[in-house]
Amino acid sequence: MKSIFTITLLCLLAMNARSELPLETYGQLTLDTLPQHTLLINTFSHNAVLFNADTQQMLGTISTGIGANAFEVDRKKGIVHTAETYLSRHTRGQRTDVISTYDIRTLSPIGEITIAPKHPSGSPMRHYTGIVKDTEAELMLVANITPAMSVSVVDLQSRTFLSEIPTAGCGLVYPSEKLSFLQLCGDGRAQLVTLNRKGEELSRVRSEIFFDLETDPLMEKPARSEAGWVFNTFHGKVFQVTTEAGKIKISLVFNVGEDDEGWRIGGMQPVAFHVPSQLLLLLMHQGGENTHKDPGTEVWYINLATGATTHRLSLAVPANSIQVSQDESALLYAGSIAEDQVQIYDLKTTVSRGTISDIGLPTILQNL
Amino acid sequence: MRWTLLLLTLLSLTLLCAFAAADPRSHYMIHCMGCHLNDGRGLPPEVPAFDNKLAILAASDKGREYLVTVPGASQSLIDDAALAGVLNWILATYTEEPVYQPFLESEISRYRYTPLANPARLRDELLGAAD
Repeated sequence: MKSIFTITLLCLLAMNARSELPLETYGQLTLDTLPQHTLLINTFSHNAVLFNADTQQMLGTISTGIGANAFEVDRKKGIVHTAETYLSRHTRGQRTDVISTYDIRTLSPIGEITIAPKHPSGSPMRHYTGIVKDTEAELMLVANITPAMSVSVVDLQSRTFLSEIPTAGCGLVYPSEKLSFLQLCGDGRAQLVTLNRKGEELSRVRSEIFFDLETDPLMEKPARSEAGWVFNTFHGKVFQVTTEAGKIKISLVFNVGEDDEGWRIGGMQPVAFHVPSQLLLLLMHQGGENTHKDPGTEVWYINLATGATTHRLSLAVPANSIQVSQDESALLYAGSIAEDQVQIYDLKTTVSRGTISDIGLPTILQNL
Repeated sequence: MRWTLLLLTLLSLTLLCAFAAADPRSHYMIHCMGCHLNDGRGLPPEVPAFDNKLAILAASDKGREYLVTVPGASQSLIDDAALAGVLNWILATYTEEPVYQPFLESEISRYRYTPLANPARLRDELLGAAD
């Protein structure tokens, strides 16, 4: 008798509770303030995901077209740009290449600029695009490979496609001072191209030969230092490429050396640079010749000024890409495709600060 | 007997390798075919087709300089003599009339190391001028 009474009471309570459930509607959350350490992780799944690296919480997703690569981030305006390719029937049909602009607050597209349908896609790469600017103009550059090499120039202020600069024999885009950019050439040199605000070419120069394609090729995945770009060769030579008065300067920063026990720099994003401490970070593995895409097991800390190795951090899991946040209490990120995770370390203390998992295969890591 | 056979096999393999390495057609397959394709049809306009226009280009100094300095030729990972060989093979294979003057190693060395900024425009100029 007592139990029947209890059940009836529970049923009544449940009915009452159900009638008070609020109606669920869908809507859009907004990212009104970005956490101090916001990591933008490009994936193999035609999207990029945002994480708060301090809490390892996911903040949102940006869906991109096929063949999207990395993002050009404008924190001041709260927007990101990326070059994308779309086919009208998803896997076939009319091809359209655009630069899409996304609002960081909503992660939704707010505009697009049609560019020449020559933007390369494949394994994600940071250096297919770049932004150059001076006091008045801001130009986004998109490297083309058809396989003829050229660069599309887009004015981000008027949002118009300005020009296509032929860059025969030299490819990719590494922004340099003002409206100029560096490229790598198939003859072992770097090239510096300077534009005017209309996107027309003013000059181009090539450097001395500083790498040999056959004996020790240069990797096309450098990190930007304060003065220029830090590139590495397959065998472990590290060069800083800078420009001065319209000329290209090359200096050797570091060399793994002959007595190297097979240590090599490698991966998908193997070099990072921490501006506040002028620290160069190299993703290293032991493997010898032709292992330049192998994941790294250690991150070596190199003093950019002296070339000295100041620390070797052993990664818990081998990583394909590294990135570092650009603040005093910096975080070092190490993305692993095989484990589908990003490890987070305190750059200074080298203590693990957690792991971001189930990302959708992390590729290029960027600070937001 | 067994040793002789082994020696002969090794010798013929070495000869075969040496021949393959020096063979312009092999150079074409390794260094040119990726873009210009197996029958030279290319992917116009970015990758010009190998056709009788080659004969027009090879008939003038400016045209010959162009053929050597296009990045696919100038930046290929073969030496000047081998580049001369593969260019001559391309001319012999893809033009209708025989080209009167073959490329020599010295001619390749003269042109090869000055980068060409805009090959497509130069090609249009040269072929326009020849019409």
